[in-house]
Amino acid sequence: MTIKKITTSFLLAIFLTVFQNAIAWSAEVTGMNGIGSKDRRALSPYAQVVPNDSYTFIGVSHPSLTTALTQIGVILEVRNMSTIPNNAAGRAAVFTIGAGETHRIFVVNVGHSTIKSSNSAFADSKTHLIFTENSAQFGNVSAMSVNQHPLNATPVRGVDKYANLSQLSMWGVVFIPSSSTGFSMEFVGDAHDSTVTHPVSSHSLRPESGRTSGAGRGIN
Amino acid sequence: MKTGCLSKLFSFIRFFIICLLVIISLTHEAYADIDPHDNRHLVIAPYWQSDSTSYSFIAVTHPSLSDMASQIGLTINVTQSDLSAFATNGEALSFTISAGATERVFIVRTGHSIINPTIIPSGHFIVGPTSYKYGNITVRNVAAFPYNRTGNPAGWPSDGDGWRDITMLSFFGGIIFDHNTTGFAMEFIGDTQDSTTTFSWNQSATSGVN
Repeated sequence: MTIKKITTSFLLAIFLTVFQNAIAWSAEVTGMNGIGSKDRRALSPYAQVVPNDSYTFIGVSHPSLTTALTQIGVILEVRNMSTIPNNAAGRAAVFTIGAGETHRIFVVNVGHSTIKSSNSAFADSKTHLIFTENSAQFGNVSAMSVNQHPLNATPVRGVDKYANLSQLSMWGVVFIPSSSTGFSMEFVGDAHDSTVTHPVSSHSLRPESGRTSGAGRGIN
Repeated sequence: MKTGCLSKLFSFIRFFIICLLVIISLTHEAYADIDPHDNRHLVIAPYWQSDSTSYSFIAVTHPSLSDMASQIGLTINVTQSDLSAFATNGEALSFTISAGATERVFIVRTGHSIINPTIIPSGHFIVGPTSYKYGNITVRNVAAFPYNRTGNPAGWPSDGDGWRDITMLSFFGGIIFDHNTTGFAMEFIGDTQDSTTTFSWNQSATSGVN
């Protein structure tokens, strides 16, 4: 009886170990191109919404660089804020930005007097509203490429093109309307911080001796 | 004898033509036009706006660094969210900036009481509708061949010879609210701020300040 119990426990332990490894492995595989992947992400460390005081504005532009595909999908999400609805759909704006376009994202409390869906000035396809509850909220912003493999190039007439966030340019402010003042936001991982990958820099955007550094930090 | 001379003459002409073609092809390579969308030749700003209460302001400075041509031409394309030009005349703004100079550019609505060419004659203006407009900015070289060095040959005393490359210029800008003259700094990518040491056998700094 004791031997049977030990054997059962031993086999169960082996099964659990193998099962947990399988779970860990699958999670890691998913994570390679999942939400934690740095090559899919751009972020801003701070955003805030205070009813009757301030809101957050973000502008995202597609500067139509040589290395950019003409359409790039973006998922922009505010985190650590209570949104309306307070779920994944409520806290994110998902959109496709075309070459040369600029999209606006307002993170604002749901009871704001002018920035609302019913106002035609904020109802166009390039304007996206993320509503928070009518209480002071603060958190951070995370943008993610819709493309799950942002380092995979699409060759177009001999030039490798990418649908990743380092081809886009982001700018934003925490705005205080009463005084038209506020604070500029910081974005990490967009074109400003980008480094074009080696295959591109060694071909179409290669350095020119004594003249350019080739494609390096920033767009140049 | 005569046939031999002609043969030599033809050979010489053939050789001459081949040499000429080689020189032409090499020259053509050296003067290859740049791609206007090439990352290496652009300066961009992600956001500007103009409406009845605000405008955008840009300052461009020629820092007069070594290897910069004493005059550099630039074209500023102010693109709206619908991809059209902001300027009422539909045109981009082009001007030349000289060594050490700072030029001011105003992206402003029609009929602004203070920000206009009469009151600020030294400014450059991109004037558009009075309604709220926004978009992004792309700055390009006027020079089709910005890497062709101007001025004296290498080794001569410098008299402003260098490259007519806008990525060696310095940009600053703001979105200004009229009623209290406050606003936000704009961001520029690709100017001297983002420059890196150039690729070269001796790592000489020729593009940007670094």
